[in-house]
Amino acid sequence: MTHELEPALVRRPLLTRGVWIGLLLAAIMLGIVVVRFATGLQTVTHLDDRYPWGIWIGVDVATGVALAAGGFTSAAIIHLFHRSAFAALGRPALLTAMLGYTFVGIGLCADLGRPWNIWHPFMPWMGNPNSVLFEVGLCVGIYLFVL
Amino acid sequence: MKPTRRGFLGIAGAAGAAAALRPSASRGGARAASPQAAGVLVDTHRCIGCRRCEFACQTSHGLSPPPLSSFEDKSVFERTRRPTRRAFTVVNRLQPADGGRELHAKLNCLNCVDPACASACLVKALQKTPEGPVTYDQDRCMGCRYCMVACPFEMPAYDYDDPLHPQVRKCNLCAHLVPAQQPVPACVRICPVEALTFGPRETLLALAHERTRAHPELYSPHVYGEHEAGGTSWLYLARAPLHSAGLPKLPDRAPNELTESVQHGVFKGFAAPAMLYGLLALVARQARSRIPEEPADHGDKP
Repeated sequence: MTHELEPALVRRPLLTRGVWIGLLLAAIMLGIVVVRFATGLQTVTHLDDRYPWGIWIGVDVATGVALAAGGFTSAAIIHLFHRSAFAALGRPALLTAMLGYTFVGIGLCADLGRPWNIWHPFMPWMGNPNSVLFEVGLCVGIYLFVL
Repeated sequence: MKPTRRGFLGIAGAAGAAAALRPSASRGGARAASPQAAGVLVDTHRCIGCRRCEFACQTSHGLSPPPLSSFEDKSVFERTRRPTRRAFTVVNRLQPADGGRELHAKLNCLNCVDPACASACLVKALQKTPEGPVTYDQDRCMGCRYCMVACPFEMPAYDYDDPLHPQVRKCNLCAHLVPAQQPVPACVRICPVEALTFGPRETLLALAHERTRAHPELYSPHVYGEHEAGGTSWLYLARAPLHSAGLPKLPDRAPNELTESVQHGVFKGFAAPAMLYGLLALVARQARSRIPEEPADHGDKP
C-alpha cells in the first residue's frame, strides 16, 4: 500500500475561512429547516401545485449524486482494475460520494412532506416497481448502504 | 476445487442472476377500465355555472366551505382556475370561438383509467380501484409529490402550509363517503340542472355519443376523456375544445405506458445488470492477473 493511503494527523488549523463560510451556510439552512418543520414548505419555498418540485431536485441530483458517482468509478478503477497510480484519489472520492448521498438523504427529509415514511418504498408490500422514482429511491438507499 | 471466497461470490452471483431471470410481469400495452368502473359525464352545455358543485364537494371532503351564497359570486370566472387543496373542483367559463353561448366546465382530478399518478407513486398511496376512483392513502404517502409531477392534467394539490401532515388533495369521486361501494358523488347530487350524470363509464360513453348524434349543433362529436391519456372517469361533452378551461390537449396514450415499458425493459430478467457486472468481474480478474506483485487481500477492500 502506498503511503498516501495511510491515515495521518492533520496539522493545519481546521477552521479555515472556507470552513467558516460553510458553517455559516449550514447554520442558515438549519434555521430554514426549523422554520419548515414549524410552518410548512409554503413559508420557505415557492413551490405550488403546478411546480411541486424545486430546483434543488435538479441541482442536487445533478451535482450531489453526480459527485457520488465519481466515488464508485474511482473505487472501481483503483480496486477492481488495480490502477494503483490513482490510489491517492480513492479515499477523497469515496468520502465525497458518501457525503453526496448523505446530503441527498438529509435534504430529502426536509423536502418530503412526511419524512418519517421514507422507509415505505423498501417494504415489498408498499413499494411500487412501476414507478421510476421507486428505482431511484432504491438505488440511493443501496448506494448509501454500500458506502 | 478448494472453496474460496471468490468461488463463493461467483456461485452466489450466478444464483442471484438465475433467480432474477424468472419471468416478470411486464407491461403489455394500454390498461382498460374495469366493467363496473364508475364515471361522471359533464355536459358543458347544460351547466349554468352556479358553482353549487364546488360547495357540495368542499362539504363532502370536510373542508368547511363558506356559506352557499358566497358561491354565487361570478367574478371568479374572469380567470381560469385550477383545483386547490381547499377546492377539489372548480367551475371555469369559456367563450367558444363561434361566438355562441358560453360554456361552463367543472375541473377536477379526472380519475384516469390508467392513472400516471398511481404508476408514479413509490408507495402505492394512490391507487386505482375497480369501482373507478383513484384513491389516496395518507398513511402510506411520503409527501414526495412525484404524483403531481406525473399527472398530465396537473390536477393534484398539496398542503404546502401543513408542516407535519400534508396530504395530496384531489377528487376521489367521493369514494371516502361509503367504504364498500361507490357512492353518487356530492357534486352530482347537488347539480340542479343535471349537467352531471353518474354511472358506469361504458354507459356514459354510449349516452354521450347518443347526445352528440342527436344534437350536433350543441356538441362536437369528440368526447373529452374517452381517449385522453388512456381515458378518464370524468367525460366531457362540449361544442368547442375545452383547453382554455383547463383541460389540456393530450395524446391518447397514458404517459406511464412509456415509463413503465422503459422501466421494465431495462431490468427485464435483470439481464442488463447481470451482463454489466459479469463484464466488470472479468475485467477485474484480468487486471488482477496482470499485477501479480500486489498482495491478493488488499485489492478487495475499498
